[in-house]
Amino acid sequence: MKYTFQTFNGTERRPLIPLVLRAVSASPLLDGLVDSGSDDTILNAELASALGISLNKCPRVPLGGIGSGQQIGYRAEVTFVFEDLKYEYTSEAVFAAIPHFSVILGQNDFFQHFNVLFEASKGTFTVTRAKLKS
Amino acid sequence: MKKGVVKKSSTASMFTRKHIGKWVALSTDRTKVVGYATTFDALEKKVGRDGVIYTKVPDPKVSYCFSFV
Repeated sequence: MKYTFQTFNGTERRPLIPLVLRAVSASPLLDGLVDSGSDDTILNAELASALGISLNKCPRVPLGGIGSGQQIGYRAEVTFVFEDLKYEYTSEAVFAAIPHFSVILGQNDFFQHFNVLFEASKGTFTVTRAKLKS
Repeated sequence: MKKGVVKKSSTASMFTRKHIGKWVALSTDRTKVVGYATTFDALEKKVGRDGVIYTKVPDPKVSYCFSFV
């Protein structure tokens, strides 16, 4: 499926796709940033309570970025539902304080389930189902 | 040699200063801001779940590279 890069202020381009998260309960429709540079899928920690997940019961995981610091995240199993793509999968993701984003879809496991072709010069990107290795 | 020029988008901003860093509910066609709040829970109470997509509005003055500092 072909998506358009979203522009919030007229200069930046962000590959956002809609999804619903499900655990004990489900989230509303959310924007997910497709980010091939992120090892894991990172979920805004504020979403945990809406999903019925108690973060203090989840295993802790250190998160690092380009800076020198680290942050603690909480690993939990979540189902990712992509209605546009008629596909869902369940995998572990990391809840963390990411104040400027709701969902960051990273290598584990978004890019295991989907192939993504970025064509920023055309303002579009395409997401298709990947063939999973058995 | 051909020179590459990247056209900047002319999309007018839907967001104003009050939306930066907040949870925002957009219409599912992304053309209207339905509501906004500081927390996810507050926004859900305000606008519900039907016909909206929840997003967060990054600061347009910041170039993001997902550092966890």
